[in-house]
Amino acid sequence: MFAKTRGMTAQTVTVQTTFCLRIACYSASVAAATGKEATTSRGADEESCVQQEVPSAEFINRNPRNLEQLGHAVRDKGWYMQWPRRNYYHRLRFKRNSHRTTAEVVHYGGRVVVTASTSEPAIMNQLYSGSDVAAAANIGSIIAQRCLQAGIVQLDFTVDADQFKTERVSMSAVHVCERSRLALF
Amino acid sequence: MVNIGLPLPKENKEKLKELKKAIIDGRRANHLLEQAARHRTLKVDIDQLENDMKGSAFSKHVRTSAEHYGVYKDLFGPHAYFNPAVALSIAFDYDDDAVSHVFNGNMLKPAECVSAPHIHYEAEKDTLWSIVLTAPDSHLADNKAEYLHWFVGNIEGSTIDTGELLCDFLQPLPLRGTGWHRYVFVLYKQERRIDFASEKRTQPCKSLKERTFHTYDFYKRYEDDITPAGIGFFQADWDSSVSDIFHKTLDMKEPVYEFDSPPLHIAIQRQVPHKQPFNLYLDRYRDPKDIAKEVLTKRFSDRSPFSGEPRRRQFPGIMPWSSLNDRDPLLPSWRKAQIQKERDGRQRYRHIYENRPGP
Repeated sequence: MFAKTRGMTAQTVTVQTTFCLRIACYSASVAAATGKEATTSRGADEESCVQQEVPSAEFINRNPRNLEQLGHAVRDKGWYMQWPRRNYYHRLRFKRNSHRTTAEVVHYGGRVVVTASTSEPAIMNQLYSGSDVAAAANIGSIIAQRCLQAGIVQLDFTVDADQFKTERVSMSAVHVCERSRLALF
Repeated sequence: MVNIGLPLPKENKEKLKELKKAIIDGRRANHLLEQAARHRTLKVDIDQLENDMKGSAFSKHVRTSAEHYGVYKDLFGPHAYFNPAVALSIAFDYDDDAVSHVFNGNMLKPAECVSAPHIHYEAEKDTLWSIVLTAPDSHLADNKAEYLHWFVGNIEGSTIDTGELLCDFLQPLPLRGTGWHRYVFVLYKQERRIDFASEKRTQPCKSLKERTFHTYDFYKRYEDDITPAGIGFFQADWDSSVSDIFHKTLDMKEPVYEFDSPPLHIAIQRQVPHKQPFNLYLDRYRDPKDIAKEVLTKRFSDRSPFSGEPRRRQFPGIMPWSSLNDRDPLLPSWRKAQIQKERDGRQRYRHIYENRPGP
């Protein structure tokens, strides 16, 4: 079928992550006293900030997932002639064989972030079969729950059209959507 | 990479195999389960699942998340990690009935985290623990520093009330315009009772400068006596309660940031560009804020605040042209295209009909 991609180490994409400062318009003490917005002036800033922290002009948010969540992170936009494309942040992948069904959420850098499989004893215990429609549907809702717990709310879901016709994959995908408000692209 | 945490209980692979075999045999015999599966009514109880998932499965799951969010790297440095051996259950009171849980990176709003959460973990009676809540992303002045939002030390067993409050709880303060900040709870297991006098902040601590914290330095200071045992973290972005805290509690101006986009790759502007539509060419070199301002003015121009949200017409293309300007019915094509875009609410003009999303 498709060439299996080797697990890549997480690529560090150096992107501009700086934010410029624009100081907010009101200061508490002035607003409370006069009931109007204080104008921003250098003198006023220094007075009120003597005891408190002085914010820096450039701010860098170290959270590596922040830019992706805001939509500013650079995606892998090459490979547009290949299928499945790679312009995603997190991709949902289903794997199925006669014994078990597995759902994985994969980051474009290669890391498998969240996974749910019917081979886990805790899940296995509650299912009749590891590879039937009920298993697929339940794996869909379990992966949705785990994604929300891990703060992943948008996923790319690219699946072969023929594969999608089978009830198992479509059932699990539908369950993922219904169960959570995960945006599936 | 150094493992600075508690060792996980060793997994017996033989036992696991036997367990799985027992489960498979059991479920084959369970005809009710089979019926439910065949009728597609079988629903896994996810809460029970979470209770059942203990030991290395749970630990691996949380650790993967923590590594994905760079938590170990930003808190303990690039060479340390730990397996969360103790499952930490954290819940903020949302209202009388509901709670907001903290898992491994879930998104919460600062308004949900106004007061200290309920924490639960399994601990033996004579053990001592500490809990620290830090914000590695929110520091106003120093990018590499963190803010300490909560610190309770020398907790006996799992009763938080028995612990010494070294830093009172402050709600998350993700700065406006900076996106999602991480807030990390770290549970440390103590060897003995520790004197945290040097870590004590004034009660109540209303100075962000005083709340400056470095987990690496803190850990280094007490590393002989404490071991990270559990972790839980969430993400929060700005809401209006953050402004209130800045103004009322901290008594300072709230900084508002905006994203510094990388410069666009466009050619240097020439005085006589060849084969370029002049209006689009010139707009490329204008400040995007000026263009946005024009669109916003248009949005407000022919509407009163009482008339509600402006709506796109169902058929914008059927609007006649001659009614625009009776003296000059023949409009140049570029101007017609621009007017059509305004009517359709396409491209930059979509903000006439859509409320611009906030920072």
